[in-house]
Amino acid sequence: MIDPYRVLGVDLSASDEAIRAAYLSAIRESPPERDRERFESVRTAYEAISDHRRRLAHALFDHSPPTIDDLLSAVSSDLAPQPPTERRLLRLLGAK
Amino acid sequence: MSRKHRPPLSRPTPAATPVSPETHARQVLEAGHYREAVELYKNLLKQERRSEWLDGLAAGYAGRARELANKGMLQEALVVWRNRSSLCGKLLAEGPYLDWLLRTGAHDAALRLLTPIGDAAATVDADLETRLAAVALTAPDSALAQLAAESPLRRHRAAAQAAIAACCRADLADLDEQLRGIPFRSPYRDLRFILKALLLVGNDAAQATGLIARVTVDGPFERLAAVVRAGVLPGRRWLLALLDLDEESRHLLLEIKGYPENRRPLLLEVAELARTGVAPTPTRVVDLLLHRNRGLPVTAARLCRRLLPYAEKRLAEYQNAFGPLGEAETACILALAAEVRRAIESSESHWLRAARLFSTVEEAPLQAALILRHLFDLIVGHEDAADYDDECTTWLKRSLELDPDDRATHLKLIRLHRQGQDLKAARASVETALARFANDPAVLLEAVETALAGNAFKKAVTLAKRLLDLDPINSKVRALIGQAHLSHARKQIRLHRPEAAGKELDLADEWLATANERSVSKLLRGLSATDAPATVRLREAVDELGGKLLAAWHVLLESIRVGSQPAGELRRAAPNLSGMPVPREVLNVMHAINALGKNESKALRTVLDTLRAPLKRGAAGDFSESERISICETLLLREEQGLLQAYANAGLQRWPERPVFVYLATFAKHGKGAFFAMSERERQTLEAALKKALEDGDQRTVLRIRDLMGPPGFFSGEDSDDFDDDDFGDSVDDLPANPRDVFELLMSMGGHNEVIRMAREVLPDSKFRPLERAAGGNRKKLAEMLIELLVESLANLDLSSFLAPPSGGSPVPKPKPHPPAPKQAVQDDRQKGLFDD
Repeated sequence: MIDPYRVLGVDLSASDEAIRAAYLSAIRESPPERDRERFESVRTAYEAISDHRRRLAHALFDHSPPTIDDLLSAVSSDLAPQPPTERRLLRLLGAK
Repeated sequence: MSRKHRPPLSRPTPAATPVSPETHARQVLEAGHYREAVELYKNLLKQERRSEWLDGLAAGYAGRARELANKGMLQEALVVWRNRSSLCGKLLAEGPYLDWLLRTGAHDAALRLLTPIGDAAATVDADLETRLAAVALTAPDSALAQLAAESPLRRHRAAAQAAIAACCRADLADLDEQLRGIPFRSPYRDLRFILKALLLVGNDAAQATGLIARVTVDGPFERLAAVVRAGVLPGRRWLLALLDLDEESRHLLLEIKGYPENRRPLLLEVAELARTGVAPTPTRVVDLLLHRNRGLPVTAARLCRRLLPYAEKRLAEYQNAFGPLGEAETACILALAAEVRRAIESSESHWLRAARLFSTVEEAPLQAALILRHLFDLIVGHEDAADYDDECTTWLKRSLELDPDDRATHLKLIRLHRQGQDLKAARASVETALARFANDPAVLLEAVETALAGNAFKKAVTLAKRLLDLDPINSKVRALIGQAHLSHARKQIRLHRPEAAGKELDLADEWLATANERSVSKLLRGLSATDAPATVRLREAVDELGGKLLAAWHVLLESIRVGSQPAGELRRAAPNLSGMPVPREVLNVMHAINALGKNESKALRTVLDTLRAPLKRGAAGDFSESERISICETLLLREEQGLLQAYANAGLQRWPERPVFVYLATFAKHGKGAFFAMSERERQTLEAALKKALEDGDQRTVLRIRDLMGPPGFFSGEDSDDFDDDDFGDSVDDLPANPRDVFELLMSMGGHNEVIRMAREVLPDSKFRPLERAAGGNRKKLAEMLIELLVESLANLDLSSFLAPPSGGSPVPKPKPHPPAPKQAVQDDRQKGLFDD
């Protein structure tokens, strides 16, 4: 299963209400008639972590194989976009 | 450049085809021998300065310059290009000259291309200006000084540089201000979109995409634009685009995405993984994260932790990299690792350890409860809850002690106890569940069913009425109440309390919904006494139930249930059982058989003892194919071999091409021991049916025929899929006729466990257990002892009569082999809904 927290865009400490809000927002964005695949993944994700018991079970038993998106997300979660450094930008413009 | 191996400048042309020098020069040029072409055209131009020869010379220089540039000899290429310009009168700035200048870092020279010379000042090439915009931005001021003062490259340069500085400070307001200083026709115009997009890549990719879409590809700032184009791609696509960028651009993209320097090599490795197009293996990801663990966020550690069950040997390395794991968590990882390896026993012990450890920690009882439930599902499974022992139910009970709020587990435990006929435990579980979920319809329904199972009819009705208060239109509960009153009435009749029975039947009539149920109620009134009015009621009920086979069924069954003599009551009720029953009657009786619980199989046999004859006559009726298959499946499930044979044979006569009837008829005749009892002719017929079923894609019949054609237990279960058709045919042909040889062959093929499994299936506990104990845990010895017993048993059955006689005549099976244990209902679409309740 794709990381349900990533699918719903919530963090590990999100409350039931926050997760439900994220779920409703996601299915409004991707209703089944528009994007069936995304809708299914959102629903599966919500079912996996919708309440405290399920979240605990997910943490205990989930060992689903990773996807590239899982990996990319895992190594990028603490990043904040940065402006370019002037030196690098000019070097890029000047070099041929 | 070495001239040692310079090839000869001119090559001798064949004497047979003399050509003019002009043609020769053109041919050499077209052949791509540029240096030679240059010499030839120079010689021609010494004779006369023709324009076409000048063009040829220019083409020779251009070709030679490109040759050199392609070899990386850019300085030499520039010299040749300058010769082209000076000797042939061509423009210096055209073609690749500017690119080569920039690549050699000759920015001054590049900008000099724009230096006004005489009248050319008026016609400065706007395109060339645009191409030089990036150079002008980074070139020293002195280089710019050579440009005309009014050159846009000079006039707008300060604004462009200030905009770049604002972008690098992420000062959007100043950026907007500076970009306003770059007019729409300026050579720097693309910067107006690129710089803003660059700042939006990480925050608003959609807006950045819109901005970068307005920048033409291959513009003066293409390298910067390419970075933005890659950065706005969604998901993993930007990773793939990252790999298409050069080193400097990659670093800029990773920089604006926010990746610190020490994480960039990891990102490039992830990008390489993405490029393969297949999902990475868990171990590869674990390796990658552990190898590059420095400075990784907690999410990376979490992913690595999630994948540890695939790489349990890296546990120590994980703890070195990301910190220690608790004892309970380690046990969980090892349990999951064992699950991944399908080492269920090892997994069980690790899970139990984890549950024990979690239970001791005050804040983690829920984890322990979840683990115990997971373990139950792992060992017992979700579908077949029959295969479990007391320890498994103990896990569920313990999980409820740790987490009593899980309604689903309460319900599961109640059902398990009830299915296991442990009504005392079921009642205790119901009480526990009701104490916590007093008004939960699902719990109340289980309570009703448990009360009914324990013949606690009054309690069942009370609970059902509580449930109806919560869910007034619950038809299942209404039916259950009616049935509870009927059951209670039967109990009263059995205890010779006709008045109390009458009251219960009055109450039942208030709830019973169908005419058939009400007729049964009336029938019970008739059975509650033996006087004339009761007999009248009994016969009225019989009439309402059709007066024939179905009515007789109900009279017999209900008389058994109330403890009367079935034969006597049948005489009193006097249904008409003469003649051939119509198909609808037979189907109704089958429906009634299907509705009968398995705990009433003894009653069923007693009823059928009386009804077998008319039912057998009914086999000749005009049933549809699906109806007949359904009847056969019902009889097969209830182990009614004689009736099954009648209906299957009639079906086979009517539809001889249908493999399912071949199977049913053979099974009805020989039972599970068909392998030993079938004649050669029957075996061939069965093989033909198998082939036909394979052609039809009727997998269920294929499996059943294969099961029947092997020794008992030989093809049963999922293993039958391991044999392909050819293997199957050969194995049957090659099987020895001597039972001992068959068993020994089986042992050589499947090992002693296969023999034990097969024997376990066909032998009763009373025979199997003593041998198991005698073997003292030695499986091989047990298998050998079982073979001896099986051979002896078959010999006692006069096996010679089961084996095909040499003449191929039909054998006469004396004792009927035990039919197979009831299996799941047949998956045949044509039966769907036929006997649905």
